[in-house]
Amino acid sequence: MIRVWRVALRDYLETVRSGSFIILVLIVPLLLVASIAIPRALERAEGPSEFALVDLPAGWGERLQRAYYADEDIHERIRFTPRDTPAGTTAAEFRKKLEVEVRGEKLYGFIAAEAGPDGAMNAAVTTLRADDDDGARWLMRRALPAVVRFDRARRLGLTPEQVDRLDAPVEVKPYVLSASAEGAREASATDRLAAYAPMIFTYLLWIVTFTLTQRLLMTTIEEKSNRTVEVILSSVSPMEFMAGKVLAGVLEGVTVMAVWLFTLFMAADYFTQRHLQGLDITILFSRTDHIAWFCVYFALGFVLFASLTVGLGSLCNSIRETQNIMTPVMMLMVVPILVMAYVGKNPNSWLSIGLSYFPFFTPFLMMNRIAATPPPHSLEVIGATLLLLVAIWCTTWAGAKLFRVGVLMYGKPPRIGEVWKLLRSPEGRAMMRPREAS
Amino acid sequence: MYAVSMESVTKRFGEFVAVDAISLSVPAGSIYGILGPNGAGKTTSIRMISGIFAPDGGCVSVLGAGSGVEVRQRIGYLPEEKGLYKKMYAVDLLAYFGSLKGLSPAEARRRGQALMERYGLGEYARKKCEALSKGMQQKLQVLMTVLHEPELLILDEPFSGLDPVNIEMMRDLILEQRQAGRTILFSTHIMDTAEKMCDHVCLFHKGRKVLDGTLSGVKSRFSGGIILEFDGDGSFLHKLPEVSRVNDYTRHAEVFLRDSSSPQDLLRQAMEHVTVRRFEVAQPSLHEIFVRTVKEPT
Repeated sequence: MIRVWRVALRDYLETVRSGSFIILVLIVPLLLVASIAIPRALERAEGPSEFALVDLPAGWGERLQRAYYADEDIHERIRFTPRDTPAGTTAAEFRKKLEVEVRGEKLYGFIAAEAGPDGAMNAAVTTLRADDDDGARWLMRRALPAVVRFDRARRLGLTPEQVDRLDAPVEVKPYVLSASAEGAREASATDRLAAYAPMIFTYLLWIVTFTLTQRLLMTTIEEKSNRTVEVILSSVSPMEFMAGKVLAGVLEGVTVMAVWLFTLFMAADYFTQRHLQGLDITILFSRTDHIAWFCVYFALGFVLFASLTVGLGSLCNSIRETQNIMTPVMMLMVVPILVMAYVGKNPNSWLSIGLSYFPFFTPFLMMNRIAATPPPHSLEVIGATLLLLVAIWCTTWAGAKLFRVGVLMYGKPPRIGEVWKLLRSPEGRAMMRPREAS
Repeated sequence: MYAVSMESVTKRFGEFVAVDAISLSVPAGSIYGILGPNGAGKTTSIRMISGIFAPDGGCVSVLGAGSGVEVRQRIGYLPEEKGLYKKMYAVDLLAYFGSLKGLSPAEARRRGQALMERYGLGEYARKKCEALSKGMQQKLQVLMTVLHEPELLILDEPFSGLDPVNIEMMRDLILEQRQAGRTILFSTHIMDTAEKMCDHVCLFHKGRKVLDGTLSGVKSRFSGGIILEFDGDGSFLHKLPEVSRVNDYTRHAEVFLRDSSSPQDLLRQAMEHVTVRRFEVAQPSLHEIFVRTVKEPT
């Protein structure tokens, strides 16, 4: 066991010190931070978009300003400037002048009132581009409709107080039934976010497993092609060597995920505290049972795929040669990604149940179901996990057998059919001759 | 007492028989050479002794154990195709392989540093392997093999690909290890090297053993040729009826006489045709023994 650990430790340290691993670890946090910070920084750098308020009917400007001052976030994005048509100029001429300013990007746009087909007043916003950013959405969907509705209500003879009551936000309360207790409770934005948890967990699990098995494949081929493997095999058995490499992969995965989850949690906590009133992103990390199953399925899933990958990879001499032989393994890994959205929404459909019992999909799809609502019965989880353990035993046996033979074998790699024959041949017999054998 | 013995050992790869019922015994403390051309079964045999391959038939005994696997920590193995982890620091590499051979990481590092100093690599201990010259890398690989002070050194074609300086280093190291009481088993297809260093030899051909024994014992079984060095045209040697075969190197020839012929007759003939500079009735070279042996039915 000490030799397994020493092989694993060398592989692990060698990997975590490499530039490509550091990039892998940092890429998700960096992308996360960049995707949030860069657009905000750019918007701030550019300053708010200036809209001219042109000849608005009485009360519109005041109402718009009220909505504006009620929402501080919008101040960074929009600014209003009243610009009534000067004396001696027609409205049409003034519009033309404003259009020139908008085309020259001295002004972002202008807002005016115009009569609709039924005689009622509508708002009109003229800009150079049909943007759909936060500022445009606030203006077009919230602020201006409220102003126009107020105007229409006043024309119908309602008092300002009545208009305010009518204009008060309409709330349709969503209630969800609790999966674990009787009764319903009001659904929050956090509940809606939690519905994405199955997909988030599944995707995270998949991307780490996929990336690290590919890395394992590359290091196996590298060790084979640079001939270090024969020296190692004079010191450790093929099984110990393979186990060391797989263990190193698990440690690398734990490192990657620890960094990613920590960063995600910190980012979630930051945004929950600062920006998202009532939306608690940290809900994703609050279920310790989900995190525990996540770790279990990562370890089991990784060992399942890694032992096959190492075994098959040992038969090849270059990454290009792996394309044919690894295709079935890749296909097995891709299916869970294709169905994860369906399984997350229908965790207990027959298809979801059936797929999650197939050992090559279990690590991803059972995790998907566990994080969904309602989760599967614990006996189901245990049953699928036991099947997975049996599959791990089989793939480890197969991987070790292929590795023992393949790692000192050079020349054209075998085809899938030949791999099957090799697996069925008696222990110690290889169908191909090592190139160096003399 | 034997450090290694193989009894009727066979290894197949599919239908191909790489090693066919080979038996040999390597006396402890000796330098033992497995000789033969490429494809003779040398590397496969060495891998079975090292425990990298399991034999399909027969049995292998190494340092008193049933296989090389059980005594891995007491064996130093240098494969023919040598590889290093290029991104590792040289001393870390030695420490890693030493630790796989049962040394504590600290002890392996200490010994690695000392060996590097002793063999002129001290200043490269904290350099990555990829930064070392090919010669230095070869040296490092040899040091990896002896770091844990193994009782049995197994070297597969140790001289192949080495420059003259490293050939000398390898030769000194082998002799030094023998003086320290270790057994050295190496394979080579270069008969000249084996002849100069080995106490015992074993000749392989097409997966079979064709000859073995002490170097002097093997030589005594074969009648020697006559070494002839001369100035002039040596083509007359091929026409002499008393000559059975000539290894002609233009101004140096190894001449083999028929049983009824005498060296004096040859000397007389030679003096008539060329200026003789050297005439020596010698033991046959290993190369000659090998050629003669594989030509005869075994």
